[in-house]
Amino acid sequence: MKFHFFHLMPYPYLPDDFRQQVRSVWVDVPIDYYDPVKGHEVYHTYLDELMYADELGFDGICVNEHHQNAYGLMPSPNLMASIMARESRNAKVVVMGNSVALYNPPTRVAEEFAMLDVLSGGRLIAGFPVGTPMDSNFCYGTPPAILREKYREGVELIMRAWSEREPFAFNGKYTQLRYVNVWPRPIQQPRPPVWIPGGGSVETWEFCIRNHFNYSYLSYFGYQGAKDVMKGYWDTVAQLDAEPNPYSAGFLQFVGVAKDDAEAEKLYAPAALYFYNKCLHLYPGFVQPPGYSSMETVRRRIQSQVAGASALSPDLTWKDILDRGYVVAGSPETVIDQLQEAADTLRMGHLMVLLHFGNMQQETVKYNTELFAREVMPKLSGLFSDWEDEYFPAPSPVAPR
Amino acid sequence: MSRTVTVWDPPITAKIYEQGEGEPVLFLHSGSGITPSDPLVAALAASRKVIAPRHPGFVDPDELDELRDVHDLALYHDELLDALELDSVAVIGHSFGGMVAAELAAHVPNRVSKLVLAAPVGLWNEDYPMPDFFTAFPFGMAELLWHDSSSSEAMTAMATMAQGDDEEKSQSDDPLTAMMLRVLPGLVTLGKYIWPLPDKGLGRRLRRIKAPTLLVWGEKDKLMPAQYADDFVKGIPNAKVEFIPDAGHMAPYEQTQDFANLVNDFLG
Repeated sequence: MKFHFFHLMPYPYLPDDFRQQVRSVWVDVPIDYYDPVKGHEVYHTYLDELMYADELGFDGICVNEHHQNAYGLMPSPNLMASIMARESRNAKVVVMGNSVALYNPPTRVAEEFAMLDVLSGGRLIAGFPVGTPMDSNFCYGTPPAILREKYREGVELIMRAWSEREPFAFNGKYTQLRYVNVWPRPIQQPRPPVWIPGGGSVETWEFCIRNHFNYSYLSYFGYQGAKDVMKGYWDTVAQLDAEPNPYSAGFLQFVGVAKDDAEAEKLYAPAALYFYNKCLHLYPGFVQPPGYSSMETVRRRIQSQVAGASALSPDLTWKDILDRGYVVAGSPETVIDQLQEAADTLRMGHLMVLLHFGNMQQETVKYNTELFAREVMPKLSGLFSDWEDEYFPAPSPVAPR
Repeated sequence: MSRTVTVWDPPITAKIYEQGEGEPVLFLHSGSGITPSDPLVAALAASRKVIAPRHPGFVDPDELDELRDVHDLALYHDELLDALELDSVAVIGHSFGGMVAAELAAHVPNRVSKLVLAAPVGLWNEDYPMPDFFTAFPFGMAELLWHDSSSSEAMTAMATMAQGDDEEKSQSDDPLTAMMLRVLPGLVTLGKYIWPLPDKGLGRRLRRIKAPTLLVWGEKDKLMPAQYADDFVKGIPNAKVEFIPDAGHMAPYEQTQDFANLVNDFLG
């Protein structure tokens, strides 16, 4: 199993009464809550944390894209990734990713990812999310009804832009270009590994499997609640008669490592409560605009919503968060046991961990990151070692600078 | 009574509800859809033959793949008039259907003899912006649509719409899921043509409309504020407006007889 340090880059200074004062952390969150002078410090602190993970031997360091979002301060993850590409030494630079449908033309993504791959010496993992409704539909104005088709066309264009050796014309439904001829090209040929961060949509599973892309389920709600989704993925793998390579799958998990349960609560409970109670304070009207999900996916989801309890009740406690498995926290042994169970049930070769979450202080982040790297990673890294990871960059062909 | 006609390429089969005798009028429904027992169609059919096609996408959004924009949508309706053997016809459109009717009349002005637009969408004015209807889905929508969503007219209309068309099987055994699945395709369709703002150039094209036009607006419309009537009247060369008091965006369903009377006076 491989391990990736994921950073969401939340704004850590949201006030205690944020939930009462504001309807949503995302889309129309008032800009008065953001102080760019504090923001300066926040960015550099977070970049330091990503670099620390590189030093400690994580396989990858991850950033992602959100717009008009107080818990994700990266409208352009590529700006962060370019710093990571230059400053890090060994970790792969995992951009999870660029919301293809929002780039006009999508060859912009092919160009910037090629730049990142060259800058990093062939260490880029290229993520192509469809994009959340908040980002894609509400902030960037793409009609839900066309988002997926526009996304697919954009991914097709990027793949061709990376692989064809002659300039070509692209006559798409959403993009028309007379000369596609991307300069520079990625070091990794024919292309960097492509990872698709997705929710539980049937179409996305098939899309990943048919294109040999890694499918990564980026859930904030822990491995216990992810079983159905990952089972859906592996069932689809079986139906399509594809190889059940664990490295074709990734999963995101919040983790807090400490000496024992009591220390875990002391260190990680405030940050977890900040994340779940403030950062996920999202106006429900933004979550499921008509047309964002296919009718088939909606049918399944409505039924599961009707059947089950609502995922997010307000004012969660640390006990709720632990009981529901949103955060895996405790002694190294506890964390190892739970992640072992997660790997057994979800079968993900790539584990992305959020060791910073909410408003966690840097000292705590470093402690968490170090314990995870020293105590947890070595115990689990042998998992799935009989499989070849075809979804990961090959060793860099360039000499260290 | 209903039948189907097939137009466009790839082919789209439109269900056509018909009721009444006499001069034909084409009725283009709102985002709330249309059913065999639509109370507005019944009221209008007392004095003429109402031909009410169901919009493409309202059962299966995949039908819209090659109806890419409002121009395609207008041309689709041009073909629909051919298939219905209507050379030139009076057209009534409500809300989204009003926008489609206005686009049809602006694209092929000679095919629309008279035009009734009930609270049409399709314009944007910063001084009185249309609220974000899509964020109200599903539970806030009734509040935006109806002046009084607890009135018997509103309850009857909503129940009819939720029931759908008995000829079509429900896609779920669970009643709430079945209702959501019935309502959702229409909203997906609206989203395709009016997201993120409803102004797709109709304002520039209104001048092309030749048909004498009646605008009808519920005075208490919370979705498309009644001030939009001014923008339509300014844009359409031969237009007048009538307001219905104590009615919202669903005025034709809230004050159905008043609406039908206005239509009858105007169409003759």
